[in-house]
Amino acid sequence: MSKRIGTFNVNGKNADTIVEPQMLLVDVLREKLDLTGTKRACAAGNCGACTVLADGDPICSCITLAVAAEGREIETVEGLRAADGTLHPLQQAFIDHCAAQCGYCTAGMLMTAKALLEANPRPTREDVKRALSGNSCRCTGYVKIIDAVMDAAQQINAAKEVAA
Amino acid sequence: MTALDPIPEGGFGDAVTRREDLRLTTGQGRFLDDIVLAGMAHMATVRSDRAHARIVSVDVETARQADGVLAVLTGADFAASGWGDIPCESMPPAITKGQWVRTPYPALLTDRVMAMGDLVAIVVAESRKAALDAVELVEVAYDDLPVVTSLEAALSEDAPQLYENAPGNRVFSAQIGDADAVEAAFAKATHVVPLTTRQPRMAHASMEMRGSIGVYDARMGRYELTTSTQNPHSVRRLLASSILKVPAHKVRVSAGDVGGAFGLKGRVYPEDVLVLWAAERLRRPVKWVPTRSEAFVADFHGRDQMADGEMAFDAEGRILGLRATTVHNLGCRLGPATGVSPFLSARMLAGPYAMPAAHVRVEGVFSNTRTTTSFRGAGRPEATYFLERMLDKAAAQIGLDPAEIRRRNLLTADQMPYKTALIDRYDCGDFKAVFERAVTLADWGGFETRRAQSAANGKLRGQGISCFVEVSALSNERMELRFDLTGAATVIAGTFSHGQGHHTLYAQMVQDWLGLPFEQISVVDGDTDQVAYGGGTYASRSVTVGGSALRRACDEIIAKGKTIAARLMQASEDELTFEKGLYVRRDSNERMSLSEVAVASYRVLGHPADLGVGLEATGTYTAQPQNYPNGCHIVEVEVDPDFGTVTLVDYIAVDDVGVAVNPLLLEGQLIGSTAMGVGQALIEQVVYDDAGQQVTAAFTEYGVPRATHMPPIRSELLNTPTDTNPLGVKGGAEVGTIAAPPAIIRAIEDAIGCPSASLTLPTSAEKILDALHKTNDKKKAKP
Ligand code: FES
Ligand code: FES
Repeated sequence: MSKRIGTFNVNGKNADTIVEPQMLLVDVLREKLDLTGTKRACAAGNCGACTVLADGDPICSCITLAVAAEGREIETVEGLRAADGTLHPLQQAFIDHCAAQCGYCTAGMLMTAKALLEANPRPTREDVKRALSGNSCRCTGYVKIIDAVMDAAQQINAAKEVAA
Repeated sequence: MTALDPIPEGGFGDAVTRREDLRLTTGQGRFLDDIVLAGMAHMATVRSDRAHARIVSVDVETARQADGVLAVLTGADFAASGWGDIPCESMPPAITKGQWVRTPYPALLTDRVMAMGDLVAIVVAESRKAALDAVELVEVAYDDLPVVTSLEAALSEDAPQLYENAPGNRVFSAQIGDADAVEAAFAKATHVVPLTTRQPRMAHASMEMRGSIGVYDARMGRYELTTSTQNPHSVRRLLASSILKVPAHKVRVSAGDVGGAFGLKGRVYPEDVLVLWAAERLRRPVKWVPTRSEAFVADFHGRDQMADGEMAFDAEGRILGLRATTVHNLGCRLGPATGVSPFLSARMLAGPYAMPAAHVRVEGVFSNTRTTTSFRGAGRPEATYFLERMLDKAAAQIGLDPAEIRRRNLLTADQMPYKTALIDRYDCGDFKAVFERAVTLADWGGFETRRAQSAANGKLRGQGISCFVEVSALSNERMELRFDLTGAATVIAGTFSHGQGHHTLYAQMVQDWLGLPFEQISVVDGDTDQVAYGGGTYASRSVTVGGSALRRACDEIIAKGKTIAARLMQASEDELTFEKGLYVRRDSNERMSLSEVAVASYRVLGHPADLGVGLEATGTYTAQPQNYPNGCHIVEVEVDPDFGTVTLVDYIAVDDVGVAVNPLLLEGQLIGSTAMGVGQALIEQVVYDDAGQQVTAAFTEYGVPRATHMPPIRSELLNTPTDTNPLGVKGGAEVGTIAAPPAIIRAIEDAIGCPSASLTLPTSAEKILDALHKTNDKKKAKP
């Protein structure tokens, strides 16, 4: 197998790009599609910095072959904001709680947290800690990230109740 | 946590959320690896897999032929270039008297590798993958030499000697304090407590690794380095003055967003030199981003220290004197900042206690390991760990509660200023009051009830305490404040924010001091072409030195603006007052805003020529004297007796940071630094085997704390503002790294009932189970 055109569905849009068989999803996102918000920090599946969602599930894009991501709906940090620019409640909560310091782990944290809240809209602090335990942050000590996720959960639930 | 009500903008002292975070939470940060330049080539490195060996030959021919390879360059090529070595510039002359061993440090080695990961050659190729693939084709023949890796082995009589001019592998051996006074103190002692502590070697492991892009601008004959650094001006200074030997204006160093540093990224590294060298040779931009395993072996490390000594006490447990020797494993050669931690650690052994006499010998040794440099806290965690474990051990020996022995010795506000028996003079603070507050908050005395509750759940509970004083605000700083012709202001900062949120902090200050709207204030840092001089960000310095210099710049702006305003309002300067951004004429309602004055200052017509053009000011601040943040942290742990696992169940931190500029951001520093202390206490350690192979080269081998390790943290401030700087602030970014390890280890010892100061860092589950079995065996033996 050699180079060919691959089609990726990222943040609700289809994009065609040339892929090589050994290429990883993180490389396609960062280098082919210019979506550099997804970070590479270990390239070994150990730190979660490269986390994106595939059909809603958090995956490490650094150990996922690009070809395996074709046909799945990929979501990255760039897709979190609403079309009108409104921040996702998680993004807003990260800002309100000062949950980012250097910001290098932030995209991975946000994506992991999004998957958690979709699967478990009313998590306990322990649930959040467990969900984030595959994501390393060297700056914040996690407490404010956990606070932010708990707060975002509340905001999302409150908005749902109003809508219902 | 303290109840904070964050607001999106505000002045000095407010809990303002960060203006940095919109870009960071939306994936718009611009980190080194996000930058792509036209024509950019990629560098990969050939590194030694030996700990100590002669380089016999380097065969690059096959690699040179490989697809996409542009160049393969060796140490011989580098030596022929005439580029200089990386110098060590951190040995304090007053203490060392210049007596320390200088080591050669070219960016590529020619004759001898001295640690795993040493640089032997580089490959530059069209893609990162092609470069990494070609690295495998470079054949290096080595002739192995005897290896010594641990500090203890390096000191032993028959250790291989790494440098001819360093007998006993000693880099230096210096002393501070008064040996005679200590002698006399020990002669009077009722109790003498001996202790040895060992700091593990640590990896900074910032989530963003180091990385660099070199550009040679042939048109201007200029070198441009973009790099993940915490101190662009120091990188430029070393490149210009030591390596390239050109005027500094021939070198530009800049950085975008930087993903954490913690002391790692403070000065120049060989790879920074090599991307510039390769860029000049190839006339193309050259990027280097390591793999994580490469970063683990290439990055400088931290800590790796042994402290050994004894403390003399009177019958009541009051400290009479301390004598200690500290030995630091500095690695195979000296980096620019290698001298920082040993000497900071030596002087901070004076601690937060009344200690009439002290004498410290401080030594550095060479070994076949990576060079060490500052690691968050830089020397202060080493000193605090030794002192706090000493007091725990003394408390047990003398028969006092660990809190009580501290109460008897901590300095109070009445004793300030306090000249220590070593070097420092603490200007202010009430260390005892801080301690008392922490003890109250933690309900130290009510612990046995909680211990019993945990026991009912099958858990062993323990409590530990640690008090510290540290020194912050190093060096000098320069800040410019410049108004543009729309009346908006830009702060041009000599400090460099890499996660600390300075752009928010400085905007808060300027909003407050000059009464400008938040959105009218921007901050520029991290580019030597835009910032004339700067000291970067490390050692909790920026708010003190940057903030103080900025305060002076703002004061000068107010004065300059007043001159202009007076002319425009046809008033005398005495008639004008400056309030909330407005020059107001006394006894009238004539007023003019600072922004209006700034706009006027650029006018060709109507602005008097003798007042110059524009409105700007430069403020400077030199940290003489420095300031002394201090605190007391108390931790409670639960140990699972079946698995030896530790859960931190409560963490109380009371700190004195002088003045909090932004409590929200300060709390972030406190918690983040505590996480690093938790890591050091429980899991972090760089390990070399006896052959010098570094066995911790991945996150699966070198543990960093995860969300599940972190306790809830209850923090309070009990501030004594300092008058050593115009803001009253003290450093606040390293407190947890300093305070957490001794408190956590003591709490574990208390939980499992093993002797004080018997556990070592990091305290793994294995060590805990082992200690538990010993304690249980003893209990059984004593019917
Ligand atoms: S970069 Fe993918 S898990 Fe670390
Ligand atoms: S904010 Fe820096 S790694 Fe998480």
